[in-house]
Amino acid sequence: MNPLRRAPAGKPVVEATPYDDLSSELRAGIDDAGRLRRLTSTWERILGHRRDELLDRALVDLVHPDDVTGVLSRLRQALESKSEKIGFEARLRDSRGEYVSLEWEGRFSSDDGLVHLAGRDLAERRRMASLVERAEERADRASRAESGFMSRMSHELRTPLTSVIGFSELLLKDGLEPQLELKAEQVLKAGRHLLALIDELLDISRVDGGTMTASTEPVQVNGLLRDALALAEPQAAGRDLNVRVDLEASRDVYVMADPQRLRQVILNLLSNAVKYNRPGGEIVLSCETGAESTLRVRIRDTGAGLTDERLARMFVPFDRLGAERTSIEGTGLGLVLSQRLIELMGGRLSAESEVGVGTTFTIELGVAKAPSLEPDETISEPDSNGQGLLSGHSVLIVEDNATNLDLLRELVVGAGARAMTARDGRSGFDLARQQEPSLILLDVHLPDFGGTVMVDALSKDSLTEGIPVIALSADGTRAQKQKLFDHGIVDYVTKPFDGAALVESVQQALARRR
Amino acid sequence: MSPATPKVMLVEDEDAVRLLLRLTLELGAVEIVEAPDGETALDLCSEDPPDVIFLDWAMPGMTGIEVCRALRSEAATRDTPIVMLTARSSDSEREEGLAAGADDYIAKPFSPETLLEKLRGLLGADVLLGPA
Repeated sequence: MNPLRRAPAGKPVVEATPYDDLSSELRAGIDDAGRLRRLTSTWERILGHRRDELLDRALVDLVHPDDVTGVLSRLRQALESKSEKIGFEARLRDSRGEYVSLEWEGRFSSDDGLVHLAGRDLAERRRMASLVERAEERADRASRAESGFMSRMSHELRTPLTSVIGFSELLLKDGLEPQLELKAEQVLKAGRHLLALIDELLDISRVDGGTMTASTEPVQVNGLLRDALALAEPQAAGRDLNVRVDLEASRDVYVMADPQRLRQVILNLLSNAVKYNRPGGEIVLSCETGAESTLRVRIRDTGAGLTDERLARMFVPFDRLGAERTSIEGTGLGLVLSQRLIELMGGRLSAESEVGVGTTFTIELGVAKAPSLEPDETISEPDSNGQGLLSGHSVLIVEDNATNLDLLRELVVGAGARAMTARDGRSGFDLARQQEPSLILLDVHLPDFGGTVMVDALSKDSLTEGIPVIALSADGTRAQKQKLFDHGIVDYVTKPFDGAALVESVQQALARRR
Repeated sequence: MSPATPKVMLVEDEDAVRLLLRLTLELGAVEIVEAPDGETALDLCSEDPPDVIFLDWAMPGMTGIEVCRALRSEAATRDTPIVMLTARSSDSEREEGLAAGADDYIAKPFSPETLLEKLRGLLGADVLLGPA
């Protein structure tokens, strides 16, 4: 409640509220003659004038001569409009004759017929702002220092770990006696566990210290999910798990996400669904559209499930919810990191569980508009419900000849993969970065780039470096072929090609991929 | 068999890591030259430039980045493939290495397979006998 309004109209009043001494705001009621009719005690404290001296005096008596015209016209504006909010800056003279810069806001009130003004000391405000700024800077520095420390520490820990992991791998390559092999394997396992811990801790500290930022962009969900699934499937098969996929709702849907981080999270959740499942159980990966244009990605397992009490500690660092008493390996940080990463992208990660039934993780992300494709770029979903030799994969075809392009696309979608196409090197490279396909079929005679240039560009980019490239050429000499292999292609197919042989070559390249 | 065994230089200040690199690369048919710091590496390179250089990032004295720039400014090693080794793994550091003229990048800890694969990629699949 405005303290100025409580007094009966007409009599000049000085008011004090219990908060006056905390406030640095000057409040006043000004009548139509420009006189101060009501005042808060802050006038006395900030300007040093005695209150009774001020009452009934014209406000402009205190105003700096240069500001008088402005103040009068603003007051008139408030009085005449009856409703407009006014705002201005004006300097007021204090009891020592010095001027205090103040920022004013005000409005006419029909309750008492006065214009009510509230003035803030600008110097005070600037001082507060700079205090806040300094405090923020200090906090920033502290958190950067902490994350710098973590990054330094991670470096120091990695160097000896290089020896632990490297030498035990070398020992195992030597072909040891079974007993020694067992021992070396334990060393290697422990080394890798430590490395995973260090990586996850460093990531968490980067998120908390604000040095990790998510670069979000529209990401085609199904492509990313299928790629992640292809990596997790061998693990699942090893434990005799049935993987069911229902991605109908997310067909052609894009979400705002950082593709590398999102893949990291999905792989982590899938790997959990494999590790904590019962043998012969099931994993269901599905999508559904959520409220307020979001997409929910669900990963459900048929593991032992968790009690509510344990579920509540799902995202607590190092709490492995009982799994520490099993032989299942884990750091107790994966879910914590996953949750922070998803939040960094503006999404949510939550979990539900039922004892004896299983656990479901849900990622909720904002739906994004599909990025516009260049006129020559296309993306085609797999035929035959994604069954076939290349099922679960995506293949980028970069080829300028339209007939060959159509033929290759049909082969790829017919074998159960998603196909994307580009007609020149530039857009092929962009599409590879944007979609991160499982494999690239590359015509080595593109209008803009030669084969080796293209292969080099792909292998030097962090988003595309791991993607195997198969070169297609009509006139390959032995030397040209060798040169392309030297630059890192995984296979070379001569045109005209046999469809079945090409699909087989793609399939083999994907199987070799680690 | 081959006319000349490829020469690989290892520039790494940590003895253990240098040994690990040597033992791993000796699985292939290569000659190995070791340098415990950047200054030694530059001296050795000016006498007899190697075919490939594995170069540690964080060393006392000259850093890997400085060594890399120095190698690139010498005619003898202007085009010699350089693979940076680093315990850091963020993209910005990786780009810094590539900007200084490195051809490739390996994050520590590395697996022997990765190391040999990079070597095969740089020297050509036929040049090097891979492990069984």
